[in-house]
Amino acid sequence: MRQAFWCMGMPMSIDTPQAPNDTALCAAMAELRAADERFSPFKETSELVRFQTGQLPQGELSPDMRAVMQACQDWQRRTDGYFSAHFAGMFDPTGYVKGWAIARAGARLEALGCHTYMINAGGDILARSQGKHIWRVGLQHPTDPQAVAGTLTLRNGAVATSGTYARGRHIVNPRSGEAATCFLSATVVGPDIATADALATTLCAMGEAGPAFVQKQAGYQALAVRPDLSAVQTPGFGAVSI
Amino acid sequence: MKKSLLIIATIALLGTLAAVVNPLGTKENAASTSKVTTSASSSAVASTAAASSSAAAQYKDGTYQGSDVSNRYEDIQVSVTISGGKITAVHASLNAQDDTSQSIAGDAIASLKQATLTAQSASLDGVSGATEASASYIQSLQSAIDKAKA
Repeated sequence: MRQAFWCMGMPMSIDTPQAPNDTALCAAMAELRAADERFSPFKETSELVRFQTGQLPQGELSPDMRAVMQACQDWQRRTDGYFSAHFAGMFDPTGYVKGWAIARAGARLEALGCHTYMINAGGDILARSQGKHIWRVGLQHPTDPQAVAGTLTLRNGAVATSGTYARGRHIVNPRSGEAATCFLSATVVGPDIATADALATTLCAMGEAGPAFVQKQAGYQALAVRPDLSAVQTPGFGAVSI
Repeated sequence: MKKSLLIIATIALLGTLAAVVNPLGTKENAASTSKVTTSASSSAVASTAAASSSAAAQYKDGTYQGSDVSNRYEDIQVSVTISGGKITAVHASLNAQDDTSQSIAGDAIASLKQATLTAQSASLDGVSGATEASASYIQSLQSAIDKAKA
């Protein structure tokens, strides 16, 4: 069963092998929509825009906004500045919020009794399987939108892909301010979706040093594709066991 | 909660079928590996349109203009043509803020148009891809599709 919906200006879906538990499904979707309302850089009424435009002082930020802000600062430190939630001098955690929101939606599903599911939010995926159910995930080919470059099967794990292919200079190296052009796309797999998402973006910004950086994070593996379509993968990408 | 992550990957880049790595060798993983194919065609964007296409019968034939959506680099406006209840053409116009953006966006939009048109159900549960940057395209496309449903 698939429940597809639009949120954060992108396609999202929640798959369950059996007919879904409506309460859990609604709660998970509500979680994603709430994140959109709070963190949208496009909605004038969002908490983020009100903060960016000075209508909302820092001291009145919600606990969620403060948690995301803290997480972004931690990532900036952890990546030596290759991950940044600042764009044009403004706090813009768009690159982090999606993964964070997916993790929260997954937690809602589990709290309400749904333990086998796959959430796909605009290409970032969180899969859980309590039984034998196996989820099949394709990796979008970076230059041929009609093709997948590979497939993964997973029971419990997260897959996040960042790329410069979806629209030109999507990822900027925050340290140089230049477009990151070393890789067309980077896919990171691991246990946590927010971490995988942040690592995929970081890998692209770091360039050649990126895969080794991901490999140093326990439990995470990466595959990155260069513009000539040659690929770099961390040794464990083929089979990860946590 | 049990946090086990079992992944078997078959990576076929550039159509080259790589060896399947399965050091864990459990029965169920071995079974699933044999079913993994790399022939499926899809994309993250395509899966959206595929999701929308379940309601294809509700689409009225005609050409529908999506709303003008801006992102950091350009304004995008998408129109869709529905014929026989299906999307048969997608046109995207954009107004980029500089020449570099124009050429990049042009390429990106071409890919997205293709993905929309080739939307189909795949034998995969989902596709991981970088779509966040194409939010403006998708937003405009969605508003055009919404009009076709009305």
